[in-house]
Amino acid sequence: MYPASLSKLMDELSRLPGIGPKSAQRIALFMVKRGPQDAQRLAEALLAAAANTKRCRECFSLSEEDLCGVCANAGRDHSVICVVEEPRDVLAFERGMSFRGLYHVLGGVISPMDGIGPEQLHLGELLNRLRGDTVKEVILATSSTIEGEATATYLAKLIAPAGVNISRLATGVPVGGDLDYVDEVTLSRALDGRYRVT
Amino acid sequence: MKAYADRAVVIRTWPLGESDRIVNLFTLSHGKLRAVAKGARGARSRISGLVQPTSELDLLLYQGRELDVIQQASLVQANMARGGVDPAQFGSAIEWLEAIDGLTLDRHPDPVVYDLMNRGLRMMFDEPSPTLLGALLIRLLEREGYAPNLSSCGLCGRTNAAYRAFDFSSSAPRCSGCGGEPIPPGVLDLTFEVLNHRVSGVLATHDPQIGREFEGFATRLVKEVVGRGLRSSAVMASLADNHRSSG
Repeated sequence: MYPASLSKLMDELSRLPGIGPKSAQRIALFMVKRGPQDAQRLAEALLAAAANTKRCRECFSLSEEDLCGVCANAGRDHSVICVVEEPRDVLAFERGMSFRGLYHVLGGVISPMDGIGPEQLHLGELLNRLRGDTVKEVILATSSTIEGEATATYLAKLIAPAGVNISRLATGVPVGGDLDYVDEVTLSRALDGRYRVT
Repeated sequence: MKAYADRAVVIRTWPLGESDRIVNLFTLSHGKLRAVAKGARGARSRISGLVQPTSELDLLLYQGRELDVIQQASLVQANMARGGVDPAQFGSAIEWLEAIDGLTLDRHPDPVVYDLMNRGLRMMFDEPSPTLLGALLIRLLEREGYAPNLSSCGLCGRTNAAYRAFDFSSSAPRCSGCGGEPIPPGVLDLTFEVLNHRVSGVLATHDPQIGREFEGFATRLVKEVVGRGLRSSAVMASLADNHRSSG
């Protein structure tokens, strides 16, 4: 029905996460309507991102250099490492601008049903970073799903011999949230993690 | 009546779109089914903490065109979906749920399997035993009609022999000279006890080595039925190794 090149574009777009056939059709028709200059700009941006983006050799976050901007920044607190699942979690912390330490991206969580075990994660590299006296604290910031919790417990046992402080990201009532709308598990975790006011 | 209430255990979840989850449930009255939990990955979702593997929930579902939609959820039992999850217990629980997922059919309710699943999850947390997962898998195989026939040698029909080998394709033991794969001693005795509903004696076994061998035998039987190995088994082995070395 559509010309071959347009059909191919729709086919490629529909492989992207969250893009179904209808959305692929809409985007493809939009790009064709905008003309070759816009398409050229998008194609160049795609190629440049795919060619230049690699993993930071220290923390495994995304970077265009061997060391990412955070690891290369001498002004950051190099005594604290925040362990996260994916590079997007680094971006979430950086948006908040309240954490000044370093990161370590695991590349996922232990997920037995997906066949992902400790061997598939960047754990050895994390242990290497804990050698020496520089790092004083590791913050386990995996998600508060059952897989994230199991990974955090596993990591805590693995890191313990290194003799650094190990902390876990707090879980509980979201800021601005109404208690009535908080589920039972989250509320129970919030109670467990309560802190003294006076 | 498009909306219906049911009790269910979450087997596993997958992310869907920006903030939703697909949830694989084993329900009490409607069997195994998949449903969408809308917004369940958002920080302010009312059900994000509940829709976690192993948790038992009271649900209100709405029949959708392809997948049903979870409208309300309240917690019955968190099981492992809580803080400080032990990785080895978590691995066992996920392996148990993966076996249930593989051995049961969609939309075929079975209250006995539901009860077995729930009791298994609770016992993994409250009364862990090295032979628990093996015993659960044998009971599940029996319930689904895949129990091994231990009454006689699968080839020559000899009874009351000291079987040291097993033929997994025919799910029967073999006496000496009749081939089969060698199996550790004691595994068939444990299986026999479970099949004869004398589980408490099996669970009283505290030897981790026997537990691993029994579990390996049971997961191999599951593999023959499902047609593939349980993906969680390999991960479970590495988690258990770490648990042993750190313990």
